[in-house]
Amino acid sequence: MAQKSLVNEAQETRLVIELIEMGARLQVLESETSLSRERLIKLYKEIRRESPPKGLLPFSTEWFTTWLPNIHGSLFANIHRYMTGHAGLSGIQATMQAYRLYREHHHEADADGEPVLAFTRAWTLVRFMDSGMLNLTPCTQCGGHFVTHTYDLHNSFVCGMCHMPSRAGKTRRARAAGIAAEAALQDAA
Amino acid sequence: MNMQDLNAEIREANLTYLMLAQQMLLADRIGAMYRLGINAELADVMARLTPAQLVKMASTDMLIARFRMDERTVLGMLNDYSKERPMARTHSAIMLAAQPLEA
Repeated sequence: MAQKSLVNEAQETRLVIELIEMGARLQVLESETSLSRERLIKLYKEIRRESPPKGLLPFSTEWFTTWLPNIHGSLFANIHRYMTGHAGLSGIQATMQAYRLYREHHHEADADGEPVLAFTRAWTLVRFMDSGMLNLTPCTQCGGHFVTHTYDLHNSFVCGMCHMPSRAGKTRRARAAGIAAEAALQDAA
Repeated sequence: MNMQDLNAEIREANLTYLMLAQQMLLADRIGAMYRLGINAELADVMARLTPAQLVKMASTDMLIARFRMDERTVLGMLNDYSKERPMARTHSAIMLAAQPLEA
């Protein structure tokens, strides 16, 4: 940029603030705006009151094919596709709006902790889909679209919902929640 | 329930739907479009309706809103009732999001 525009900079700063509040990491900010790294780090520290996490972004497409992340990722990807296809949004705006709707859908489910799909993960998912590493495949049983590797064989694809893996969703946390609910029931009785 | 009661119920459902849709659109246009499954044109028209127009539109003996799921989707959702609830909700959301839009 030869000439710095103050208005442009203010808009980008606002975007960065919004992104940081949604949980974006520094790499996301760097690739979505043209603000300097120092500026971004300062903004990050001011908003989160901690230094930005160091290290690489999660770069594996494999994560999105495991059971729970796949379902959350698929929901996000479907919303994102709607945003770009019908609502006329594009780029980071589509990602942000889709992520907001995704969080609204799940706000009760994970009120107690971190969302399964963090904003940076959602952003990488969009990048993977744009670059053709992942895409959406319709399930042959329910017809819903789910995230899959582009070059896998999809002729008889069945999603993780129609065909639950045997130990799916039986995490330590889910068990603890179940025990707590049972105890509460017994207390009430 | 006789025919007159039924028609009154239908009109009420129409009015409720239209008012809810308009409220949703005014509060958060894009989110509402996604939730209602309507396209941008229809969203603009619905958001601009005046209260008088709303009432006029609602006062018909036909239901205005249509069922958004096809047979396969409904079947899938019924199957889901045996599973844990939050996931079933997500499943239906995934299937609804991919449905064609009402124009």
